[in-house]
Amino acid sequence: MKIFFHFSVVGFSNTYLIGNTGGGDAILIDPGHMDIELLKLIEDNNFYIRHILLTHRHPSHTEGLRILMKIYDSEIFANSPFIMDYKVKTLSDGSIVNLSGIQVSANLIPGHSSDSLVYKIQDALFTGDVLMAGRIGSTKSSLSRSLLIRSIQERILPLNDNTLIFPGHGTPTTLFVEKMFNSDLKLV
Amino acid sequence: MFDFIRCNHVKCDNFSVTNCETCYLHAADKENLHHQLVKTLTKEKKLGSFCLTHGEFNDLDLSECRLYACKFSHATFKNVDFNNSFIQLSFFEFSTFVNCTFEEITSKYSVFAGSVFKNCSFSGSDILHSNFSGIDAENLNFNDSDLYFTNFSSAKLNNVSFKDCNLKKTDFYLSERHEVSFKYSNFEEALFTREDQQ
Repeated sequence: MKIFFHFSVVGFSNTYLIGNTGGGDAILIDPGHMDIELLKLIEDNNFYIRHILLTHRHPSHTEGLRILMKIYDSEIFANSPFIMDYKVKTLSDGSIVNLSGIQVSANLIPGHSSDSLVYKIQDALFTGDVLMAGRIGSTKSSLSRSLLIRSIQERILPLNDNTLIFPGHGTPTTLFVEKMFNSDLKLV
Repeated sequence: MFDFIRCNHVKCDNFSVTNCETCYLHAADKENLHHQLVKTLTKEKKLGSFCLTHGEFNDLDLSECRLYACKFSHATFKNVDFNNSFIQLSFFEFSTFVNCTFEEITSKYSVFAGSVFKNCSFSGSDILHSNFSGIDAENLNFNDSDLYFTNFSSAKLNNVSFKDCNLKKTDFYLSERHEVSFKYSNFEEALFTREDQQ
């Protein structure tokens, strides 16, 4: 399995391209913006975007769908039934699916948004805006923040310390790094 | 990306060394493994999708190396020359770097968090989207570097120089800074508070 990282200055968001060595069908996580660099990354590695995973419905994670869906015949997966008029295959808490030959498990971690999913592929965790290097996602109320912290505590912190974390914004990290240095989690 | 295969030693959670059944700590022939890796790094100067954690590397010339998706966590590097290297999506967290030079490197999406740096230099480098959170640094030089979106949150920085750097969106939230210089750098575009991060 290969993971490619793409950063877009539009929304300052991260998009992840995941596929098998040698190309073929691939997964794209959170296409916040579709630009020529991302297209080149996909095509130069002989990938075809068969599946798109969205961590949540906010525009900085979904805007790229408009162009992507004109280029590729992709299936979209998220926790909402529709995103930007595109029909979505709904994943719920605990869903496990096999996409592009890669097993993906989804966990619902509400708080930043009600539809926030994190995706686990082997020992890589794609956390969207739930957990980022040094902080947790923003919330609209103290209740939502409590819900987010509790969900992270119950669903993410018990994972293996070596888990690699690929967030929707900012740098990659690992679960143990976050346990040690994430000030938001120290309040847990 | 390296394969996420666990060490087959009982109760060991480390990832195994690429193409081995155990992690480096539990390898039967550590010396040979180490030798092979050093040979590859110094001769071929290119390594992709490779995992070898807890290793010790002394007095090596790894200049102009290209590392992609490598994992060298909990490693020790002493007197290692990484000058002009290209490091992408690689993990060096909780490692120790003493007297190492990383001058004019390109580091993208890589993780050095929780590491100890003593007498090291990253001057003239492009260090983009890289994670230095929680590092313990003493006598460290980032002069003339682009540190766009790089994260130093919760880091302990003692005698660290960021002269003439691009610090746009560089995160220093909750960092402890003693004798840190931002001379000629755009520190007003860096993030120092929770409000800056929003």
